[in-house]
Amino acid sequence: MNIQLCFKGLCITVLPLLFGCVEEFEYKIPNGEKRVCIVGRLSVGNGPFYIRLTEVISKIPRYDNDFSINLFPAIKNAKIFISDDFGNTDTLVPSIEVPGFKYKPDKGYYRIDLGGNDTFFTYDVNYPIYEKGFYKTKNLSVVDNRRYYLVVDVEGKRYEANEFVNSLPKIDSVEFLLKTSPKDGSESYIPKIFFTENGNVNNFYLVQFHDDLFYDLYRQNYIWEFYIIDKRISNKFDQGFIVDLTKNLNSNTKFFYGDSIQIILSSITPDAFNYFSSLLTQFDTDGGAYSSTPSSPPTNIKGGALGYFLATARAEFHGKVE
Amino acid sequence: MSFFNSFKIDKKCNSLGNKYIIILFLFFIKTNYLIAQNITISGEIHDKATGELLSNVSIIQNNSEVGTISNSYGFFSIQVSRGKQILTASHIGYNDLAITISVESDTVINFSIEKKYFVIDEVIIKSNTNKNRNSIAGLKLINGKDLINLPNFMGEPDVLKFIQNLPGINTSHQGTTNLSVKGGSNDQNLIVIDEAPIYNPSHALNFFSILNSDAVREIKVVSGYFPAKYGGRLSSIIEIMTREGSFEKTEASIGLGLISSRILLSTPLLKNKVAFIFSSRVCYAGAVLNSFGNIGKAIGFYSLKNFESNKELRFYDYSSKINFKLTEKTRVYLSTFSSKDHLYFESLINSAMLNWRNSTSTLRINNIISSKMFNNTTFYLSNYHYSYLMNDETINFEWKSKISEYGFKSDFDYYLTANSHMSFGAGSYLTVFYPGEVLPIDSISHVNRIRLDRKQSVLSFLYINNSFLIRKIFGVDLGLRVCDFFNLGPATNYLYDSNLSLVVDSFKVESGSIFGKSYRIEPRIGLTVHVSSMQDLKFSYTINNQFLHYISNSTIGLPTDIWLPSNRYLKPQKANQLSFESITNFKKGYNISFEMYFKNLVNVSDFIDNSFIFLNKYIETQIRSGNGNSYGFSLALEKNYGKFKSNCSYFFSKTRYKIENINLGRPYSPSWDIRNNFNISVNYNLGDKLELSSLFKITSGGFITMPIGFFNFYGSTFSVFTKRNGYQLPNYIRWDFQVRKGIYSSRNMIKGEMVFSIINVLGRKNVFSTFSKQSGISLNEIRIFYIYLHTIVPSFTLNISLK
Repeated sequence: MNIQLCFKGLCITVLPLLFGCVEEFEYKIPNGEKRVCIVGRLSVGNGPFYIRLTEVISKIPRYDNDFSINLFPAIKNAKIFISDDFGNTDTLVPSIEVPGFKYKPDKGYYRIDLGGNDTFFTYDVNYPIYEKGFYKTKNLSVVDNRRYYLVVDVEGKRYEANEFVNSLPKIDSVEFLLKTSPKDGSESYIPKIFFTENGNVNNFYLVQFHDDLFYDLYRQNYIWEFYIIDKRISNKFDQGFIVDLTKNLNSNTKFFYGDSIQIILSSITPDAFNYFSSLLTQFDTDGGAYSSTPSSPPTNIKGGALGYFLATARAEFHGKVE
Repeated sequence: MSFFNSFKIDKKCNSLGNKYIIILFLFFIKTNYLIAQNITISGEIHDKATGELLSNVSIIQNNSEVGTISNSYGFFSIQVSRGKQILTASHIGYNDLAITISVESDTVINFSIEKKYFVIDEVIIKSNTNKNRNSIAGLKLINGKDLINLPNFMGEPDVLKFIQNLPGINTSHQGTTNLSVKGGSNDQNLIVIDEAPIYNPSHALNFFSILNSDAVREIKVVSGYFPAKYGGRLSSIIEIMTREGSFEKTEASIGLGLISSRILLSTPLLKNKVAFIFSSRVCYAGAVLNSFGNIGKAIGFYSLKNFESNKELRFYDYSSKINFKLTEKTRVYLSTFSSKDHLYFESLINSAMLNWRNSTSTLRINNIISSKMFNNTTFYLSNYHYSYLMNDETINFEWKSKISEYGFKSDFDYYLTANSHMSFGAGSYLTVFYPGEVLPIDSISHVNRIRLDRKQSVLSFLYINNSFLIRKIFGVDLGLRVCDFFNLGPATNYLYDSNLSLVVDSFKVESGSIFGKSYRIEPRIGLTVHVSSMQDLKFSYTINNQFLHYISNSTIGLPTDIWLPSNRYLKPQKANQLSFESITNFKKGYNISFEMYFKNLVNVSDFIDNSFIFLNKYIETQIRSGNGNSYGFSLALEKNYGKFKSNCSYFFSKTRYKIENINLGRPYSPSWDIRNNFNISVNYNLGDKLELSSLFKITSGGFITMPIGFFNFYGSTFSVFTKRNGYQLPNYIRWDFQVRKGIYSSRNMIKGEMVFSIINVLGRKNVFSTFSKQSGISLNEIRIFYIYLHTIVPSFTLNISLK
């Protein structure tokens, strides 16, 4: 009978697995044709509503202490039309005003906080927002259960999209759950929404934590404040829906006791859900070996543009974390 | 047309089938005509030391060119003329054994041949060795002990990584156990252990093979001519036979390692009647990583300053076999295999905890029916369970899935004449798929319990294969395999619109009802031309169908990927493959082989952009099918014998898919399309039990999808992608080195060896994968990174045997 003893492997064999095996990749993006990104949203109510047109860039974007609003060149001189099922049509014009901002020639653009007060920061004294690719409606009103059509003409190319506005959901209440960080024991709060569906039953909802569309263009972002609810996966209406700040790059960006909070809930179409789902997937699914093959978000804009034309009814909650 | 008739019978295939049957009839006439009144010598071939049966041993009648090889179960049968005969048994790694006998009637002889230990004799290759004459195109045989001849990652001999170095075989991602055989995908390889299929043959996210190499007796890779016995996958069949245990003596070994330990026990339970063998391996790499990470952090390694000792990486596997020798002609084997993995590695898998488990059981009955006929009947079951646990503060759930297969088959070998061998058989298996279930972990979980309906399918097959020599120049292999496939209720079936995007109807199928029935005929033709005593040319044409579909949209594959049976929308995949091989033997053990192939692929599938596969009961809406092709060639120079052994090979292949609605309907490369692969390995015995080996490898990079632009949407930057797999990664270059030194005490009380290896001597940071992500500084910023698995990895192994 043989007895075999095997002593195998020195400690140095496992050390390579401990060290970071991730480095920045030298990647040169091939030059491609110029592409347009269209971002816009209609909400039930009176306008103005805003559409922003920018170029898709083919260099890897670096922060370099610049705001994202300046990273993406604006597209000017576009013709934009929005119409509805009932033949109402509006032609958009370049905009100098954007919700959430006020403009004074000596201050440039500055923020208004949730309490209606001016914020401390001012932006871009010398560069009006309309040079950032914004366009606004003149007299369009949006109602639910109606389809809206977008037409954008840029440099001889036409881009079209349409979106249906679902019925308004009703936010019944919002609770806040105490969350303790497993890392440092710090406490913060997660909102939990109780809501009921209204009218046409829908499976998809969009939650956001700020009202204006372009708030994030003028700050160093750590957090993308959208959250989607897929009722197929979770439909416990009586127990509420937890909505977390899911794409949070900075652990300090949390809701704390006493914070003012705004929650906007929208019923969205399956196409819109897929679009936001795809964007959120880009945060998690990086295209690495253990991720799915990455792909561009499935826009509802025809003609080769990126972005999305969103039209929703919005239920809102304003309050404090308690 | 009802759903039950959803699979049209391929009329073209049917008409071709009639032709095949006529051809088959003709060659039966031919081979029956060849039957002569010879004497049959049959028997078994054993390893002298262990008594275990040996397959693929050449038996040559010295005064003629008549020869045969032992089958997978160690049985041989050879026809000789009356009188004095010399039979020589030869096998790579064993000493030749010649027996002189005088035969007047059918005779049974059992050979026991002896292994060569350390001493490597110069062997002059005799012309026209039986090995080549009897082997088929594209067949590769690996002895379990060969696994240690190449440098191994972390000292762990690995079955699948060894196979990756063979000509015609690539891996989609270097460092993993994934195989791409002749341009095929990993799921197009059927891996069987003791005749039971394994659905996930890897440990630790594909970094290690599933089977402890100590337990491996032999590996057979079929990828050129597929004998009709084999089928079910498009690219290859990898048959792993485990050791059988000794009837003679007890053997035990224990291996204690830093990241894994193993044990092997082989013992006769009833001498010359019942043998038992058990082997097991346990890996605890996670605990070791945590310990070293903590030590490094305490010492002050900068790169470990944020190290968190929460990594969980452990696995085990074991195999056991009981071998009953009921009579001299009948043996029964009962074998089991099981493996289990547990993994939590935050940086790799986004904080999910993965578990997966394979288990197989095989009952095998070998029966020598006559001196010319042998039967092997197998009953098996194979289970693959896998799950992951997501324990987030808001979505805490367990997702689990399972696949079970229950099958039987009966294979017959019939040695018609000295130069003709027929095999035939039949089998059937039921596969039960559990595509997925989500369970809330606790009462406050906000996840519903969701369970996708299970699916069942049955595949039955019948085959016949005949191999014969014509005028000692032409070796002919003709095979025919007929497959009958159907889905089995209960099931809920969905009908979709023409764009496969919307459900237009659904209906239920009752339990036990058959639907989605289809059959396929697979002809196999192989022709070997013995051009000279030194050279063989081999041609083959095969058709294979695959009724299983691997549903994974990750490039490497995760343990959580799922398998589904063919149905109305997921039609069986099909490969038509033509291959040509030339083998030329020279003196002193040199041979040159050249192989080329062309493969036409039908109904291969891929995911649409932005596919949603998680618990999607309409999964067919996320997949599109199309066609593809693959072609390539390999050139290999090999020196098999002597103190200096070497293998140098170059393999070129190109694979393209063309699927409507994917990549705008244009052809594209799948991720495993590795175009160029150059390997050179040497093994030099310096005497005094000192052996050096080295492996140099350079391959093209695989194809991935990379961003070609960026846009901003509400304050965050996102990537734009266009071409599917439109970017080719940099070349992969690696050079490994290994020294083995045999050691022994003066009285031979202690024997063993030291093995020192360095993997990736050049320290090159080969790209394993790339990824792009919003940076931690700002959502506006995108960073693109690459992962490399390791730089230089030295390892040391000490094996000591005490007598």
